[in-house]
Amino acid sequence: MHKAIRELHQLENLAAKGTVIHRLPPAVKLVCTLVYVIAVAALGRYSFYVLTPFVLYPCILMALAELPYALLLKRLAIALPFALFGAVSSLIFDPHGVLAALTILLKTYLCVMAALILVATTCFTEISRTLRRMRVPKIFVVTLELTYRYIGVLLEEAHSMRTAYLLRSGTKTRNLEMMHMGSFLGQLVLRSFDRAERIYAAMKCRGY
Amino acid sequence: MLNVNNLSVSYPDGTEVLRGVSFTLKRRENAALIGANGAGKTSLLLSLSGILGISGGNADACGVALGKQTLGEYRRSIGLVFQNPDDQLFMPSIFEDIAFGPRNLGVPEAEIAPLVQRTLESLGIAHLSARSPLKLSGGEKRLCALATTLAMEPEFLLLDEPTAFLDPKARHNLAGLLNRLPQGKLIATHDLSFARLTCSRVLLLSDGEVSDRGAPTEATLSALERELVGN
Ligand SMILES: Nc1ncnc2c1ncn2[C@@H]1O[C@H](COP(=O)(O)OP(=O)(O)OP(=O)(O)O)[C@@H](O)[C@H]1O
Ligand SMILES: [Mg+2]
Repeated sequence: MHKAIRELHQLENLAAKGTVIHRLPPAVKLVCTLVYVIAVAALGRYSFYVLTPFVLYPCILMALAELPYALLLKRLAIALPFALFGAVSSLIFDPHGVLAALTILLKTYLCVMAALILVATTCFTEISRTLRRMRVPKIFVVTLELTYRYIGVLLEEAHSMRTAYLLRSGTKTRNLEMMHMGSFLGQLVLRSFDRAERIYAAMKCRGY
Repeated sequence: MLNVNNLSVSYPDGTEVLRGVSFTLKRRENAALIGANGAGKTSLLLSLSGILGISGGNADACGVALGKQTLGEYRRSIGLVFQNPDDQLFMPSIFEDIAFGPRNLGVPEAEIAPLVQRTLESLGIAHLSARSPLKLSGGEKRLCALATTLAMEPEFLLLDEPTAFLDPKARHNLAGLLNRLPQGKLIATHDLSFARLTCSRVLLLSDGEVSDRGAPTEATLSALERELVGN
């Protein structure tokens, strides 16, 4: 849990560097990422070979922006289960299963990498400000900003509950026991709802 | 003028926290709201901000009644600073958070940055502008939460435990600031000496009712303290 918070901050800290890529206008990076992701996603389901040159994009950008490959790769792992699910089902149901599965995996890799690179080279405030300037409807921008904030709040809430739990758990284990997991998660959801409700109240107070 | 008349508030589960609260708060006046834990201070401030529904009585601020139809206009003149600053800060950066309210009020984009800057400077926290609220200390969060409300330039400020998390210097500065700010203020606090520093009047909340205890003189406060401690 603690690690998750620290990693969230790590990715954010990467955005504070000053390489060529970091200094590009955020609008340019945003549009490039969008075009790239749409292009990758639009290619056919057996387009594995056509896709290979696309690998250059993340490679070149990561080198220029001096991003640590290991950190981004770990982040990538979050998307892995979804991609694997898609890959396995096409292995079973598709006549050209292997090619389709490889295409799905590569597409996921490329799209997630592009998004991660954007986040790691542009600070979040810049992204949302650019979206606002590009006349993206306010409701989308605010939702994005709130989601980002809530992930932090949820992690912090979980972290402080875990600390409180461990301080009084008496045993030497560093993790929650399974028997307490249920009430822990239930309480986490309740606390997060509560927090969400109060934050919504704060928004209403400020004319939302 | 903030007028509160015979206000009652109950929670959905039936707990009746306020039973006919009445008082008035003038512009430019600071009043302390004192009361034991669970007396209903936070509930009173929430209901005066239109967050917690009222079950009886009425309130108005600068002539606008607290009610469903006029809630938007009513809220313009009321600024609430939450007991827990984490509830108040929800944007990715302090700058964006402070800009949130004025933007909703329709302040033109060109005036936003100077307004935010001015607000931050008045609290001496201009250096926090670009930071994320996730990475601030408790006291820094408290000042930022206050800034988000001040940027909306309300007529009245409702502050819930403003001195919690503050170090002695920050507490001292906050007292100075609250004395300088032109708004009328209702300050819920357990800190009697802070009440003495900032307020011209003490309101005691107990048994769901508010009683006016007059100016916070040494004698009044020590009598209050004995009463709250219970002997
Ligand atoms: N959401 C809720 N549902 C039901 N009862 C509540 C709720 N929130 C608070 N209460 C009850 O209402 C009463 C007043 O609570 P409130 O938070 O207003 O007190 P307070 O004066 O602010 O106390 P403190 O000094 O501890 O902050 C308490 O008895 C509390 O148990
Ligand atoms: Mg309270």
